[in-house]
Amino acid sequence: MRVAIAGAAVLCLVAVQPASAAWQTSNQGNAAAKAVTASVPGGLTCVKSTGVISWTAVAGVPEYEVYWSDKDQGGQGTFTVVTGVTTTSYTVTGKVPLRAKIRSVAGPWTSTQSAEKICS
Amino acid sequence: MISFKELVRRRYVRRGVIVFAVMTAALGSGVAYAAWTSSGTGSATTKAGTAQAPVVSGGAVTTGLLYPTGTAIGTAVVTVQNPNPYAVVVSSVAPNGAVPASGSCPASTVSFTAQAPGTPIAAGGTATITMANSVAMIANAANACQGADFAIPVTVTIVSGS
Repeated sequence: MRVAIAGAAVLCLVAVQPASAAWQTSNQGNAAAKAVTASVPGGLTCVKSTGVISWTAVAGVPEYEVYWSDKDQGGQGTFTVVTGVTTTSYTVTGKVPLRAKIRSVAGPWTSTQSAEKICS
Repeated sequence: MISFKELVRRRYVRRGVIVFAVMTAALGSGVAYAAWTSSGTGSATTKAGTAQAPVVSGGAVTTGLLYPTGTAIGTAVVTVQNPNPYAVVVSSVAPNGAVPASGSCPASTVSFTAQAPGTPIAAGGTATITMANSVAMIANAANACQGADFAIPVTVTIVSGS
């Protein structure tokens, strides 16, 4: 008899489990996304004594190309190009930068080069 | 010493207990017995609520901007309003067709990967869901796509609970 009562109790516990069906509904609409604009970085500075070239970030742009030269303005075409710079500054070591330019890069999209900056 | 009559009586009592226990399990689960009873006539009406569909719209995108890579590096933002009088969870945000053109940027330049954000929303509340690394732009996207805003068709599903 005890076995029968215990079995009935187990049945009760199993049977009284709460309903677990959830209500589900769907609707359509739009999510938003936005593309980068690879614009020319602003705020370019260049310091001869430290070799530091810095600029202002362009929103969403992942990297920059830095152009610097240790030649004065008579030395056109002698810029050293540094690619894949992911920060907003670059330090020239071993030489003294006299001129600098910068452009933003987002995959195949690039901005035009910034105006040349004469280092101070 | 127990008489034969007494043995028979006990057997009936035992059977009665077993039958009662089984009937209780089968029929009585979840039923509360009230000590007071009364009766009357009339009509009772009840109606189950109807689950209301979420209201879906785009949100402001400030991070995870897209550029041509062919991989899902971009962020999608969707705002979901729960019109129901109970809490829900946003169980999925799924693509619902090709992404249309944006200005001079052609259709299908970007694509969205289904997400399962699991974002809770209170009764009558609204949530803005930011889904990082959910949008890809094709690797050879036109320059005209720079700065474009994309409206990504999605189907948002909510489930009761929190």
